[in-house]
Amino acid sequence: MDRRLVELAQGGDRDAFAGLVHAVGDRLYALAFRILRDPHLAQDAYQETLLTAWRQLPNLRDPDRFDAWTRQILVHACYAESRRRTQWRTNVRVLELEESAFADAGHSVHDREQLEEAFATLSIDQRAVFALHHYLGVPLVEIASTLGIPAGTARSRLHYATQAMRAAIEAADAGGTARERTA
Amino acid sequence: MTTGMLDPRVSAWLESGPTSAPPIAFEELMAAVAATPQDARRIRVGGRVLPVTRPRLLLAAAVIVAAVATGVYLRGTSTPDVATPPDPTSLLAPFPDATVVVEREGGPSTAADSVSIATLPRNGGFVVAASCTGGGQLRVDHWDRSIEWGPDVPEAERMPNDRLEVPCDGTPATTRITTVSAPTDENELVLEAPAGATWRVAVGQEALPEKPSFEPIEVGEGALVLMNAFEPMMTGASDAGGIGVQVPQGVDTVRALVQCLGAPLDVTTEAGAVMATVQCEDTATTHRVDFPVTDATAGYLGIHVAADGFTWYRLSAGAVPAATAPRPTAPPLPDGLGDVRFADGDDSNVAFGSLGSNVQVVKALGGRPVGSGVGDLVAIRRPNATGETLELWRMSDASPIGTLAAVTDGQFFTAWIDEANEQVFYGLSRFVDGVPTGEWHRVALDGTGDVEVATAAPINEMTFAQERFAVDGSAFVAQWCLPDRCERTIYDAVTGEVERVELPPDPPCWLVGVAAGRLVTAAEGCDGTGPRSAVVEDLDGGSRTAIRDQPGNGEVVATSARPVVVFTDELDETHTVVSVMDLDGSNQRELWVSEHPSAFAPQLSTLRLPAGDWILLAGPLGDTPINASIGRPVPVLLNVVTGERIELPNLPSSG
Repeated sequence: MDRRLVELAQGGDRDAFAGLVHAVGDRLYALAFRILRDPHLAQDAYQETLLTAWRQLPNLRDPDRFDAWTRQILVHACYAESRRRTQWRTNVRVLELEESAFADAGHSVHDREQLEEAFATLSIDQRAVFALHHYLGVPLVEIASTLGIPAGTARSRLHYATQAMRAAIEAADAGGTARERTA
Repeated sequence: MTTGMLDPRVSAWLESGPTSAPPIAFEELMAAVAATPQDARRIRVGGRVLPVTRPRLLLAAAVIVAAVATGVYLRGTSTPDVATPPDPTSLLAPFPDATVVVEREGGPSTAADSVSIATLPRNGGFVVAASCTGGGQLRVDHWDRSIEWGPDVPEAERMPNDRLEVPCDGTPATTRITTVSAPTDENELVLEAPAGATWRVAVGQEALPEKPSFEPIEVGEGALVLMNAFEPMMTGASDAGGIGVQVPQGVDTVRALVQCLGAPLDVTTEAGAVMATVQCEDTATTHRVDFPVTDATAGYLGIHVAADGFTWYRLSAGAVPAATAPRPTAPPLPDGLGDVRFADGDDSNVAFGSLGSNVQVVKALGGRPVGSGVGDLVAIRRPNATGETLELWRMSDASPIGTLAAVTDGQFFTAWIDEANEQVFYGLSRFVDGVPTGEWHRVALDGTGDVEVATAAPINEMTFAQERFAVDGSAFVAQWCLPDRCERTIYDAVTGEVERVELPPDPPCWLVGVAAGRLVTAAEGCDGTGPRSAVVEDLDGGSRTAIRDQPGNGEVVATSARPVVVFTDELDETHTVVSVMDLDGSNQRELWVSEHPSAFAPQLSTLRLPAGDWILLAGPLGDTPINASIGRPVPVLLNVVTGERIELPNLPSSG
């Protein structure tokens, strides 16, 4: 991260902030999507995060922490978006995924459904830890610090989430075998 | 981007989906940013938080800031109810330098009244004076009207920027208001009068000093940077400006460094106690004001300033570690272990120390070590305006030796020092022709002879990537995997010969270590839920032998007799077990059961110890302000032959 850009943006330089958004925005949006599994909610979380970051930038103590700081804001924005989603998720189900990512496996659609369903059963806390660790590769200790939770809690959330996703893929395997037998 | 610790199908599922924000999202965001002011750098920001949801974002983006001529203009044209002859001159008498710009009066009215007094342009300094009679209390509020309050922000939480409270007993009250940090000219003064009050209000404008350019602030020896100075700020109304800092453990004094220009400045605590009054006559002077840390301010301390006038100021803060509570001295350490040096950092400060000392030298380098120190050397990455440099530092006197490498728009993520062959292996990630790429290089200690050893791209499709330097110094090994293949590069540390091995797409969980031409990996069950095994294989991918069938963290360690593998495993919720075995899986034995949950157990340190039979189990060793010692176990030296343990209370821990 360009520390000078952060410092300029802290002083109110909107062009510098645009540079920062270019640097981190895509990653934040991608992370929000992985947590929320909904492009529209992810977009809201992305915008809310970066607008909050703009407003509160003067209070950021260490410019070098900009990356981690925005990640922290994003996770909380995802929590808020998730609460909004629960109000209508019983009626609306949005799964906009790129098919090409699954084109190399014969049972991929079935896998995806199983994984989406398994992920949907996780709490937003567990999803956040799972995506931070397995998508962004953030170490558990740093996740704990980001979310303000004990490392043990972060670890147990990750463990639970990982277990659920593993169970989902095993269930997908079992389903695929059953279909093959039927065929 | 996934860590390679998942079932590949789960990884693929997680990786699928968008990786960039839609362009419209960016455009809407920047339009909203253009219409949104930043929070003032103040501690007290209660009630000014503006939750923004998508509909409000769009609204904010649509805000058109009218081109209002700069200058104060009066609100309303009707003749006020005059009950008392106005006397603005006397109201502004305390401000002889002020030019009267607004005079208003009114009341009494039968009900509480809200009157828009004036709209103030930005970049101004104003004085407001008011008096009233009739009982109750009158308010004059300064609102930043460019802030759009969301519908879910309760009325009670919508706080003005400044507020002047005036008892309606005939006593005048005054305040100063600055609009220097206001984003627009929409700064409205609104008077709230109680029923039955008769009031007068006057607004004057004072000339502001030019925004100064202060000299750089140096926190100074003995104090660790907690907050760097930002742009100059200006004192304003009765509420003080200032900064808030997190106070690390072990700090008994926070040092405020104050620069100012204008009227004398009171530097106060959050409770208003004046710690010092400093003169603000030039831009070169930095005043040091020490705040003792008390029970009330442990963890967080507010530093406020106030002036009887308009004053530019800039604040930094440093932590002064407690001089009266040194850590215990180290116990006697065998085999030269006391002289083993380390460097540890937190991106702002780097601590240099040794295992046998309770004193560390901390320098504000704005970077952090990558990889472990070896002998007296450590590599430190330091961000700069365009990227990063990787520097070689001497740990014994915390001094720089030279630059190993530099990268633009990239980051150094690892460094392994090969002291015997006077070289360093380092890793960096950067975009090459738009493709996120990981590279491992070899460079001589003097920064010459930089050679790219291995390249992995694109990073975002990697299922695994890691490197290791052999504990016997024989080879540097880097391995990476894409969904359809893995590749391993072996760099002979002595001859410089490079061997590349194509491997099937079966990524390990991680590389445990390299020794004697063999590689130990943690394999299978990488998601942490199923059985995990440790496998030893030839570096060229030849014979593979499973030596263990349970999860755990491991490290290959060189001992006086032969290399061994040490594992730490969670025994139960409150215990962690440390065990050791030979590279062929033989001689497995338990060394120590520690009374730590695995998340808080001391971890196997990669710090290179002198040849012998000792390993170090520890958390971070650096005593820097941001690396608080909360949750750190006491570092322990453990002899892998005898099982003897030596605790190191001289190093930071939470006890």
